[in-house]
Amino acid sequence: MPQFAPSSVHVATPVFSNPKSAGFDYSATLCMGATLTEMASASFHIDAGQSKSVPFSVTMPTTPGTYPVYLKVTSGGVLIGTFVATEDVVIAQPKVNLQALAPGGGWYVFVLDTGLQTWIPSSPSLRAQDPVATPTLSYVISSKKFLIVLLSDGWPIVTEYYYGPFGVIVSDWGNYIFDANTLKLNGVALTDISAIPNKSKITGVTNGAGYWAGGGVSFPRVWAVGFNITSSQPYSGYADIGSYLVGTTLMAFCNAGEGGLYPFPTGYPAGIKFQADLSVSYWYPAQGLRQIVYTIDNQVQIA
Amino acid sequence: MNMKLRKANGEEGHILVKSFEMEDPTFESESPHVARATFSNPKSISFTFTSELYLGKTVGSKVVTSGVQSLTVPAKGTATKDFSVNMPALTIPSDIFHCYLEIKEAGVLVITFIADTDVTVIVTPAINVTGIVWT
Repeated sequence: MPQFAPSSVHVATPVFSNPKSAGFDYSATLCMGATLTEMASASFHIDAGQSKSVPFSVTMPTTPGTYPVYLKVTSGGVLIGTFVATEDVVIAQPKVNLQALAPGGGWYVFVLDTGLQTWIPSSPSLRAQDPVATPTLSYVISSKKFLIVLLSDGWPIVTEYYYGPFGVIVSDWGNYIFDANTLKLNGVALTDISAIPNKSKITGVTNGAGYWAGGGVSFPRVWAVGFNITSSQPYSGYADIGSYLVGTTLMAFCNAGEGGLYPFPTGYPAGIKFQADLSVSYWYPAQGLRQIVYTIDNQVQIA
Repeated sequence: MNMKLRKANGEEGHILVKSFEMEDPTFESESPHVARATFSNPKSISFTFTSELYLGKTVGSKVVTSGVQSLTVPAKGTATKDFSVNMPALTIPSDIFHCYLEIKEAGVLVITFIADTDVTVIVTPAINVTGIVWT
């Protein structure tokens, strides 16, 4: 049955036929749901014995669920039929269904939803004690922006070896295949953030999530600052890697020794230099991806 | 309903229509209906004739007809005859027709009656819907 995203606009085109020997003017209303909520209407004429395709532009309901579809037809102001479609319409949050052809041999594919900032569980699930990764792993992602990274050891062990992360922005929901042997998504090479010169200035608004994030010799204390990213701008000569973060929330880190940062208040506009292959920073949650780095661009001391 | 008939053309006095009954004179296109006529013979000898009920716009223009039917009415007596007619097939939503009853003797027109109420023929709107294609 048809499945659409909430509030998306789609066109329903039924074919009406006039079985009678005279032509008539008709009005039809497309309704959805058990309460027959009127979604779109059209008026048309059909000659005797003829058929006509009539488009109805429908803005889908906002609430996920299964909706029966009805067509109420009148002629001369008199209801002459209420028809129910043979297929209901399902309103559901669209997903990216990613199938990763893992290389095996102790390499694992991990996917990070940059919108939710969560690791996407694979199916079958990955376990640290698994000696060899399952050849094929499936992920269901609720964002069109995500990261793919290959690690050479099992979760959640921090690894010394990795490929990526690869920044991914897909234009459509649906099914994708990531081949971990060729590092291509649907046959297209991905952007290896840590392997190319890339440097963006992403701007956003702090969301009040700043906090001390670490400490120690290897990982000196850093400030973590939450940002709701609104735009990205590449530096001259660099790839605009930050573009795929627009619209997401980012937890950026900065070495306290370098920046001397203090917590940003909620709603404070700020920019972040988004760079690769620098020193100590993590994606949130900090789980071993040391190759992505942010430094606060306009460092403002509040205290 | 019982409808009154009056002369449309021909000569009165040979046969009378005592009653002429049919349903509510609004009918669906092409639907079959029956009208019942009771004839009365005012004369002292029996009268054998043919009768034909038809719908038309003018006398003699037969859009639909019951076909010719023979009947003998005894002297000073009465006889009843049913006339089955399929309503005209319309290509417009509705139309109005006169209802005629034609009487002939030996093939010669005696009289044509016309009902005082016309027949309305309609096409009731209907519609069918086939599968919805979503894009």
